[in-house]
Amino acid sequence: MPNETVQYKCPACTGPLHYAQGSGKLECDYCGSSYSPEEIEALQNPDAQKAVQAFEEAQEEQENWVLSQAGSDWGADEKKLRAYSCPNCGAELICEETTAATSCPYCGNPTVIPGNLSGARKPDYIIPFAKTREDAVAALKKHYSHRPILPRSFMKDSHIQEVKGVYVPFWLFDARVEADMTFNATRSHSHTTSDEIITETDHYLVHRAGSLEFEKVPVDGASKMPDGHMDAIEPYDYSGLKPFSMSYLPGFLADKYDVSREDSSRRARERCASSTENALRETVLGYSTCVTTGKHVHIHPGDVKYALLPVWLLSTQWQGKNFLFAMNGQTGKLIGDLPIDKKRLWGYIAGAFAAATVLLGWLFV
Amino acid sequence: MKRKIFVLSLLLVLLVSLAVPTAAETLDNVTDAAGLLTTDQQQALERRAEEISQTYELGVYVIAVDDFTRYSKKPDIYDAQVELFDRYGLGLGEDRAAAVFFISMETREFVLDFNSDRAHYAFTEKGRDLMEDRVLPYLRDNDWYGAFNEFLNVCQEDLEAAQAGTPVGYGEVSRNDSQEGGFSILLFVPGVLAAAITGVVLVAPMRSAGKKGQADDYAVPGSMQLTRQSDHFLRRTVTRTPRPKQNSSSSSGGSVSHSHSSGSHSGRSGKF
Repeated sequence: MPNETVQYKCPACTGPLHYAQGSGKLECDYCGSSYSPEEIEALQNPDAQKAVQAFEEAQEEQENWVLSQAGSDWGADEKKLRAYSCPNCGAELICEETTAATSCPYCGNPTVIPGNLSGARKPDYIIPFAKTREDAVAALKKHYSHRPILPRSFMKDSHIQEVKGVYVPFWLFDARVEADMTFNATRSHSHTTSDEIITETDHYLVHRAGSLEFEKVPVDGASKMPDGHMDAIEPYDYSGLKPFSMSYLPGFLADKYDVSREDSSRRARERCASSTENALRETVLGYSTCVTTGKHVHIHPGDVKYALLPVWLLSTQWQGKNFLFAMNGQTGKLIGDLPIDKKRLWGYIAGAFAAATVLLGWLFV
Repeated sequence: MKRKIFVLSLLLVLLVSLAVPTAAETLDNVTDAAGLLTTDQQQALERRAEEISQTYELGVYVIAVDDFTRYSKKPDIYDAQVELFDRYGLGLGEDRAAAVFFISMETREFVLDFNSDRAHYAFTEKGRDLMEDRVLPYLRDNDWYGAFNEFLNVCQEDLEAAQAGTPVGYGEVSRNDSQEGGFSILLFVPGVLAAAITGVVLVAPMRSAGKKGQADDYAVPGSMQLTRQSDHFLRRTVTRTPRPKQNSSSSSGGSVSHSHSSGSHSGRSGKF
C-alpha cells in the first residue's frame, strides 16, 4: 500500500515548512524563513516534485525467520488504510485512507499525502487556522473553570491526552426553501360579572406561505467526527474562506470526506426546512395560541461547495472514560460535555430548595 | 287593685317565660317537616335516636325540611340550622352537646352540625369525612330512611368509640386538614422551582455538544419573502365560569366546613 507524500521544503535551507496560523505563512523551523502560501505554490514544480517524492519500494530481504507467520493479511482493513514513507526520516507509516495531512510521530515532520485525496473532490475553500494549540489548551482550561458541579478529581486527574489541529471536510449547501403552512390560532379576552367569569375565544384559520434563502449551510463530511461536536462549534465566519491550497495543510491533520454530498444533504434539508417553518410561524402575531395544522415544504437545492474548516480536537481521559472537546479553529468557540459530580449537584439543588422555602416561610408565616 | 294587677302581671311573665321551653320541647329527635318518611319509619328512627341520645347524653337529631328559608332569614343553610338549634334549645346537658343532620329538599342541601367540646371530641374531622362518605350516597339515591338510619349508625359507632377513649379518626388527617394544608404545599412550590432552576443552570453548561436542528445562522438576510398571508375568523366560543364565592370556610369533597362564631358549633354543609 505505498503512497506518495508532499513535504514543503524551505527554499533557503531545505528544512520542512509548516503553516503558522499566527502569521498566515509557511515557516521553516530551522532557518526561520517564512513564505506566503502563494509563494510556495509558485515554487512548486509538480512534475519535479512527483519525481523527487516517488515512493521507493522497499527491498525485500531474505531472512532465516519463518516470515510467512509474521503478520497476516489485512483483509477488509486494507481498503481503509494507507502506508506512506516519511520523506524526512524515512519511517514507514500507516494512516487511514481519509487522512490527507498528518505529521510523522518519529521526527514530527508535517506531511501532506495527496495520494489520499485521489478519487475525492478537491476542496473549493479552506479557512486557515487562526487559533493556536496554546489557544486551544487555554480555552479548555477556561471551559473547566466556574463549573461548581465538575468533579474536583477531574480537574486534578484528567490530563490532556492529545491536541490535534484538524482540517475537517464540510459540505456547504445553498438552498431556497418554499413553505406553505396553516395554523389554528386563538385570541381570548375575559371579563367578569357579579357571579361569572366570561371568557370569549375567537378562533382563526391562519395561512402563511413564503420562501427563505440559505447560503453555505455546513454539514461535516467526516463520519468519524461527531455531528454534535461539529454542529456546536458553528458558526464559522465565511469572510475568512480562501480558495483551497495544500500549502495551508502542513502542521495539521486533514481528512478527506467519507460522507457523500448526497448523504450529507439530508441534514442540510432538515435544518433549512425547520428554520423556514419557524420564520413563517414568527409572522403569525397577535394571537394567544397558535398551533400548526398543516405544512408543505419544498426545497430548491442550490450550489454545493466543499471546504476544509479548522477544528482543534482535545481529548482527555478520566476514570476510564474519554472526553472529547472541539474548538472552532477560526473563532475559538470550544465545546464538549463535562462529567457531573452528582452528589454536589443534589447538594446545590437541596440547598436552593431549602433556602427558597425558608425565605418564603420567613416572609409569609 | 294594684296588688291584683301586680299578681296578674307576674303570672303573664311566668307564662311567657315558660312558653319558650315548651316550644323547644316540641321538636323531636327526628323531625320530618318535608314528608319524606312513613309514620313507621319516623317512629323507628325516633326511638333509635332517643336511645342513642340517652345512652351517651348527647342529643342526636335528624331534621328534614322542604325549604330552610321558610324557617330562617339566614341565607346560608348552616347559619339557618344553627338558628333553629338555638331557637328550639336542642342539645343535651349544660353544654347542649348534640349532633344534627339537617337537610333541605328545595335546594338539596345538607348540614352535619356538632355542638360542644364533647361532640367535637367524639366526631373528629376524619370521622366527619367518613360520616359524609357513608350518608351522602343514600341521599343521592333519594333513600331518605337509609340516609337517616346510616347517620344514626355512624353516631352510635363514633360515640361508642369516643366513650372507649379512641374516637374514630383521631389523629388522622382529614380532607379538610389536607385542604388547609394546601397552603403548606404552596409554600413548597417556590422551593421546587428554585431547585429546578438551579439544576438547569448548573447542568446546562456541562452539556455543550449537540446537534443543531436549524440553520438560522445561514439564512440570507432580507431573503424572507411572504407570498401569502391571510387570517380568517372562524368562530367565537364563550366560556362562563362561576366566580368563587367569598367564604371564610374551607371546602372539601363537595362540602363546606364551618366553625360558628356564636357558640361551639362546628360542622359542614354541602349539596347532595
